[in-house]
Amino acid sequence: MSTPKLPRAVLFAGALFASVLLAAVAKKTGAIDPIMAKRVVVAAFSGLLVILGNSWPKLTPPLAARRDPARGQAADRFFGWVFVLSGLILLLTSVLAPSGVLMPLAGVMGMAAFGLATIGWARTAPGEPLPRPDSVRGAMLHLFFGLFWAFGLFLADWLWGDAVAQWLAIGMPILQGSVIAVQVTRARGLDRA
Amino acid sequence: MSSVFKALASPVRRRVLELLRQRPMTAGELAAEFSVSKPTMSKHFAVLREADLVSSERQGKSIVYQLKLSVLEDALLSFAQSFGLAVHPTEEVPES
Repeated sequence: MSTPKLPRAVLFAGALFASVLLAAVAKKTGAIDPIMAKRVVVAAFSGLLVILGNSWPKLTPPLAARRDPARGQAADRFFGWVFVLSGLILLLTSVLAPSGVLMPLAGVMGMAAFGLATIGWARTAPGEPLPRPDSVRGAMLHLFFGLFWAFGLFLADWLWGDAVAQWLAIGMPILQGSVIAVQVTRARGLDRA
Repeated sequence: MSSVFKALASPVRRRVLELLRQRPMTAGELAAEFSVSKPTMSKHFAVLREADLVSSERQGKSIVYQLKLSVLEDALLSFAQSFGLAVHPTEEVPES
């Protein structure tokens, strides 16, 4: 009996999340200084952005699921390229940026990437249906949402301090739960139709 | 990854991928762009499918191909094309 293999992207993503947790533990125990911990976290999230962006255009939905296949495909390519390039720039930033500006810079660049991707998507494929929640693309959208929130937290922490960032962190699972609820409801509606 | 490099090594297959960048196309539409035999085109499509660079769907009597490139594979394709290896659609292409 063969053991099912985990997709390579999932293993990479798991390793990146593990590195974030390790950095947090190492910072708490004093094994690494806080700046190094921040650099590791920004690098890990940037790496995840690159991996997700790289895979996004490859996960093509069936043609019937698209309103306009040509525009949908163009939007997917744009989406992927924006995240891969932004992730690579953010990776460089995590290594080269001065410690004082690392987090706000990462926050602004991360949010800008998501803004650019959203504008591009809206211009290239307006009304293109969202993926079904049971698809890999649906799962990836949740990871993108998590990364968007993480870069937003970097920025909020710098702008308003810990208190606001903590409240924003609490809001994230609530919003994500709402997104999942909308997706599931929509999918059930599609199944009945 | 070696199957990707093998797929990108042929100018015909690179041209097919370039055409599919514009929109999904039927096998007939793609074959019409080249002056090679249908069995040869079928072999090219099979190599591209094997490398997981395109996906195909049957729609009625036609088979529709669409692009299935990651950003890295997309960049590799552009890299290969930028070295002047591109062919014109009607150009006769020797078999690789």
